[in-house]
Amino acid sequence: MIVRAQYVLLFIAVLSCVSLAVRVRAQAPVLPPSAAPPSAAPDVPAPPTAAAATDEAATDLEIGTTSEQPAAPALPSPVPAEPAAPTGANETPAAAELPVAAPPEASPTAPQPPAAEQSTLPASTPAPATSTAVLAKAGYPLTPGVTATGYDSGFVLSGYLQAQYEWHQDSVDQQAQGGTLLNRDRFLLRRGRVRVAKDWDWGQAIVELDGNTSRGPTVRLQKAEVSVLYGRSDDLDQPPIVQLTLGQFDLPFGFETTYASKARWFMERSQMGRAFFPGEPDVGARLSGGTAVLRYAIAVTNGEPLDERSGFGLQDPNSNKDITARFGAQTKFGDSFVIAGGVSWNQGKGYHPGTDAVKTGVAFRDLNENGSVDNGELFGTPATQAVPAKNFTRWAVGADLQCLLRTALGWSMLYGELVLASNLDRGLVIADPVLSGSDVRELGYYVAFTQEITRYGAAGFRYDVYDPNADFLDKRGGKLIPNNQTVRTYSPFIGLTLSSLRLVFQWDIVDDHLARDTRGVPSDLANNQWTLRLQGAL
Amino acid sequence: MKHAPLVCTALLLAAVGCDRAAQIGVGQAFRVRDAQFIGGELPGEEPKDLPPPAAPDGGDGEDGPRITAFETFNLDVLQGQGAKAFRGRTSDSASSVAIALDGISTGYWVMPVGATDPATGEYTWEASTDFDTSIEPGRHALRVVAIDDGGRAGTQLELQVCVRGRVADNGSACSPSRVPPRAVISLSWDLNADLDLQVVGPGGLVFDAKRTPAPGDAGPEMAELPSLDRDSNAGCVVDGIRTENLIWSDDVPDGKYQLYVNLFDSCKQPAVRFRVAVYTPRERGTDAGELLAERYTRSGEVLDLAVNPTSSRGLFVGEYRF
Repeated sequence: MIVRAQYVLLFIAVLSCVSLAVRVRAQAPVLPPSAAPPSAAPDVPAPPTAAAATDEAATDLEIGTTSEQPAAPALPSPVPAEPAAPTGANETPAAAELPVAAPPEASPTAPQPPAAEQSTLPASTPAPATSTAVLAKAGYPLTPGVTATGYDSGFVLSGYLQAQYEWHQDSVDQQAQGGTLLNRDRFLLRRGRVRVAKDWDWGQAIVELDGNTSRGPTVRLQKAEVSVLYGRSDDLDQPPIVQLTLGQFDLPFGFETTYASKARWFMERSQMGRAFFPGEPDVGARLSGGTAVLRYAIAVTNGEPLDERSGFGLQDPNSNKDITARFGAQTKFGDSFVIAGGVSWNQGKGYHPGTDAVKTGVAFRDLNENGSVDNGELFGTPATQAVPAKNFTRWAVGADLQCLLRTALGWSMLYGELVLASNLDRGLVIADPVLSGSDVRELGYYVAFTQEITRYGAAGFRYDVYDPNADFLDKRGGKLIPNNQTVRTYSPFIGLTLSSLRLVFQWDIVDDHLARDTRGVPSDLANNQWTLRLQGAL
Repeated sequence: MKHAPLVCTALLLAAVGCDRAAQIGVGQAFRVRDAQFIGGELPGEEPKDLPPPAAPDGGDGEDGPRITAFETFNLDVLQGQGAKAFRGRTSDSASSVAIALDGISTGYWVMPVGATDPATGEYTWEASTDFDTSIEPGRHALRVVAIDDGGRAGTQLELQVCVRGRVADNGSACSPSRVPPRAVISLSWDLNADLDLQVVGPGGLVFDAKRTPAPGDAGPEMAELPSLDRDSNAGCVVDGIRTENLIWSDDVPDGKYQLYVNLFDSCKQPAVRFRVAVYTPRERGTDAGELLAERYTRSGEVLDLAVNPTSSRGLFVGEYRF
């Protein structure tokens, strides 16, 4: 009953914030006088005119391009073989911040954009809407890291910080056996990413460092990939036709794994995503690209992604290489509706580590619990052999779908993903079928909806389900009873946006079976949490 | 509308709340391994003087689910002892067993019943329990109750367990008829290092864990030598007790006793905090018998730089005159 009351209160709170945001939008004349549509009266929300839409896109552009893709240059690229990007390269934050009267300085050797396209540069006259790079500009890069033909030939430095305070219902001022801290009410630097990228005509190199304090102060390599590519597009939403990448990169499975943490409104990926792929990157080779609406990516990797809890993260304990692939499509209708989706597949071999040989020994068992060594309480333990390691097969198949719609309120994004897997959990309930002899079947899915509320806010909700073992048995009354281990997470959030800053509050209501009630039956553990995060782009 | 931000914030905080359900019992002084902690009073009726009569068919009678057996190897528990086992049986309608240490637990621990006992046809249960060092020495009531599928609890049963202190008292905390030692010098410390208590008695006789004086060494005035109960964490073989007691069961020869603490091996600890205390008996209030009372304490810290694996004295802590 208390939980339901909390839902109602939260709903009221979201409504209050929405109304507040709408009112702020109506009262704040944020458009420059030269760009403001005449109809934008202070007390009347601006109609969705083309001018207003373009202005929002220009503002959103600051979010999208400074994060996961290098900012496109204000100048056309001096590449003789390929014409400069007509619009995508120029509609950048740098371009948007140019003085109104300043025309782009074209290199003498660079081809000039067509006159008709030059008019799309931000200037005193609002640019008409364009369908090019609509997602990247809006901050929803479904294919992050893509650079269009008008790339910056210099080093492009970008990055972002996510600092937060989080509160956990199950936090206690204690340590678990082994020393793990159980207090999780804390300030946390979740991500501090710095990224350097450089593009050439036929290639691209990216190095991204991550600093965080999740498990103490850590600085580590998040990505380091070098690519040779062909068929770079004019469109920031369109990947090259072929791109061969070697290094440490995000695994191309599903949608969440490659969706940029900075662009994602929710604090973390879904429970399912974090269980299957504890960290997004792995080391290997990837062939990816796309043409027209089609997208593809095939990766061969070590099969031990970053943050894997076995301790072999980014290493390779077995010679087998995991194959991860996604085939999908993405299309946009004008600049207001985008639909994308795909199917994914992962196949590999997990590693069950062996154990060392043990010498003979003597063990004391206090059978009568008197604290003294009595007759019959000393046992000899024979030497044991070293146990060899074994491999086991694991796989996953998944499907994902994303729909984006732009309205007068802002972008709406509805997306979801479904994954069936076997022995793939490497982050939550570690799957290892070697001892049990039976494969572990896993199922996960989520549905998420985010809604921009003008340019200043957003709200959303994610329903996330993960069953780490469909065949789990609980022991009660001497019987093994099939038991549900499913973890359901309800995650509403509200967010405020100001320029490159985001302030997001998310509440995670976790419904699991990790506790027991008075009858000894598995029940929900009180482990809800909330997080307040401030994110800023460098 | 101008107060919308405040209203919004207040509603959010009210919605989310900051309540913590008591489901993590890590901080409890009495813990049960592989069991669920639930805050609140132990359910069921208070224990009766006599155990409820068993139904003829092994069922529940009128009192609901019942604990039909509650046993352990012995009723002695050392402060800080872990994995102390209690086991028993329940009637066939029980679904779980709840257990709590009366006056110590702020809730109770629940575990599902186990397999059926082939001899009686009743469910079995077993609790592996931990007793924290913060539990006062003396008798404590350990209570259990059976709970059925509907969440209905039966009548509680209890066992009186004796929690023995880390300072050897010959069981006098639990039994007034037991006579405590005449004196105990106790050293305790906080981390798993090999610390040794060294006491230099009258005539320069040294008592410590690494040597034991022969009776002849003590001279005629010290007829009976004290005994050291253990060498805790000796050679960095961690026992987790971190307490050593020098015990005089009979009278202590008068004189000055110098107290030293020696860090024999830091066991990779950068610093260790210790406490030395001297105990002698005092009369037990209204009851008969005696209890050990603390007469003198000193505390301090030794750094790993002070490691002294030789036979020389360690850090001088103080002097006590018996």
